[in-house]
Amino acid sequence: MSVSLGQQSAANQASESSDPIARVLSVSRSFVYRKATLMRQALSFKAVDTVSLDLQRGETLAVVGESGCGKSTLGRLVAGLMDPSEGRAVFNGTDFASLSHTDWRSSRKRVQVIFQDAAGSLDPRLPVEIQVREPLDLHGVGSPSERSLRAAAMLEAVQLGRHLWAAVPSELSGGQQQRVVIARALILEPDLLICDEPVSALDVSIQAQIIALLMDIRTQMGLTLLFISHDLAVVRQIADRVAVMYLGQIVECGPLDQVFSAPRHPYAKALLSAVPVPDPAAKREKHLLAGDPPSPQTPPSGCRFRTRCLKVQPLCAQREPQLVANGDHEVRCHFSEEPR
Amino acid sequence: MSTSSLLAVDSLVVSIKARGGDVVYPVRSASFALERGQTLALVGESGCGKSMTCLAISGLLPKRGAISHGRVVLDGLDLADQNPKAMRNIRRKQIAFVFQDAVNGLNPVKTIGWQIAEAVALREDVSWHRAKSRALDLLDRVGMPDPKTRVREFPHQLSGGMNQRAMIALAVAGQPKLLIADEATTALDVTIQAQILALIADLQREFGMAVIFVTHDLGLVAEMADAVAVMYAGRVVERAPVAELYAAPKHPYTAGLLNSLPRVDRRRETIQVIEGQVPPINAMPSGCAFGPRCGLATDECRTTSPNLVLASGGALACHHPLTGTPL
Repeated sequence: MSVSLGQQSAANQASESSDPIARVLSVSRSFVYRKATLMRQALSFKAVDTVSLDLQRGETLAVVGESGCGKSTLGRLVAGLMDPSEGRAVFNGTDFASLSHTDWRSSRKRVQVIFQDAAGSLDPRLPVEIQVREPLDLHGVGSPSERSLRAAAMLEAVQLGRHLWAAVPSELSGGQQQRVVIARALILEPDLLICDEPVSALDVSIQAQIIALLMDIRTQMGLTLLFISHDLAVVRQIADRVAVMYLGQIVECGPLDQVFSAPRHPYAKALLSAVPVPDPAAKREKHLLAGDPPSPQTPPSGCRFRTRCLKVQPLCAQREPQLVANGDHEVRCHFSEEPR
Repeated sequence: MSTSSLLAVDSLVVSIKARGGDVVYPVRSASFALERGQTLALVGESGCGKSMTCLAISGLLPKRGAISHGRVVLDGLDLADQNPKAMRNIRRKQIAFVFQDAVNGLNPVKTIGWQIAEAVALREDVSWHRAKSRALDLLDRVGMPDPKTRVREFPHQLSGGMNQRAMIALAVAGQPKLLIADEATTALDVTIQAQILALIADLQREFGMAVIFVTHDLGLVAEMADAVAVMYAGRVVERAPVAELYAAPKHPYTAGLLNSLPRVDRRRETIQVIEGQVPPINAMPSGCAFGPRCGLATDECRTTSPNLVLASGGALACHHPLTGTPL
């Protein structure tokens, strides 16, 4: 990698305090699933329910959980792409809700998002080189020739072969498309990159290439990463800290190694034990969960996990457990495992 | 390949006529065998031919597809010689499929119970009433919650995990000798995947079925399979018992895959990456298809495609096999 990737963000970091770069404070987000009519009230459910999270500069925080747990919605709230129904989403010390349209636009330079569906994120008819340059054009950064140079530098940084720069997305493979998406997201040198299942659609060997690329670029640009994934093996490789979500709530959050080697919430424990390990010699204890997760439209009373929990007690149905911190490790369970 | 194997696939080549008259070969050379009651994993990335191989085995190739070379022998019977009607009979009683997309694998306008009862009635000469009650038993057996209600419900009323259970009930209704699970748990959440895998292993023991897992998930393979066949660009490139394959992969592609996999139980120091990508099906390189991505490739690899050669307990198609200690 050549050029001055990362200088600007390094300067950003030096000029600002050690406050979290992004935080959400008791955010909730509801979605209506039955509209109101004359005779009946609208029905809604909370995809994200009272979640608080701090993202420290330079860290990689992973949000994990199964489909429908609210992790993508949480990512959108952190990115300011969606307004919270309750609570606040703060970026660089400023509440997204308080920003004027112009300020909001310029804050977009600092937060970028990449999604699982690379093809769907790209313009199908525009050569990829122009798509990577487009954010610079839109934000009026530098002169046209400078923009082209930076786009070229960025495409080189993501290791996309030069012969592909004039191609349109359909001429690229899935992995190459994701490289273009990453280049486009990073060309404005954002402080925060939100990755929503960035490698889930890719084949194993290509997935490894993209993870290695993300880890490389993260170090070089001093990026903060919010990494949303259902793939716990990928998370173990890339994250510093991890938050486990279940039905819209964080049930466990802490440093990666603590959560992965000694999970304290029964759900986190079951989730981790369910992931197959590519080693026939590894003998691991499985904690099989029964049944499906309940619908977020009708969450159980008390603890939301109690309907599938192996350690359930009468108390769990009566009282909702709170997220309790032990050092930097938080757990939401009446009967959590003792910290090691 | 012993003659008593349940399934023997020998030098299978599958051709498909593309639009415009070109012929492509999604499977260019697949050989493996499967013993009764055993589990084989067919592993590889998208487009490597693993699903096509299974469709060829069960006579379900698309209209433009054909087995253009090689043999598929199930229980002493050469399947390539069978007419469509005979193949239907074989599928009815001997081979069952479970697909990734359970909702589309099931009939949307018939109840779950009706579909399973149909499979029972097609296999055995029993009354419809009896078939229906067998369907209920089967749903109960595959761990369907509240089977008495579910038996009267339609696929769209069930969750992904429940649909997959229904599809498994449908598959085992005919008491097949061979169950092919084609990415059967890929679309499921990991806690549900664990349930379904445990169920398949259970049923396999109970019915003495052989199972082929078609998958890209090397974690799943390590947990479920007895033997593994790794496919790359339409060929089986390495075959071995599961413990040997993971402990000492001999093909550079297998080794590369295993080294590039993130794992949940520990963090790797570095992720070693296989550069490049799988060649497109209509532009295969000469010589070894993995050559352009292989660090060990020589001129020999660029000119001659290595044959699959039997080696201790398995088989390998590589000019420069890895011999060193495990990674």
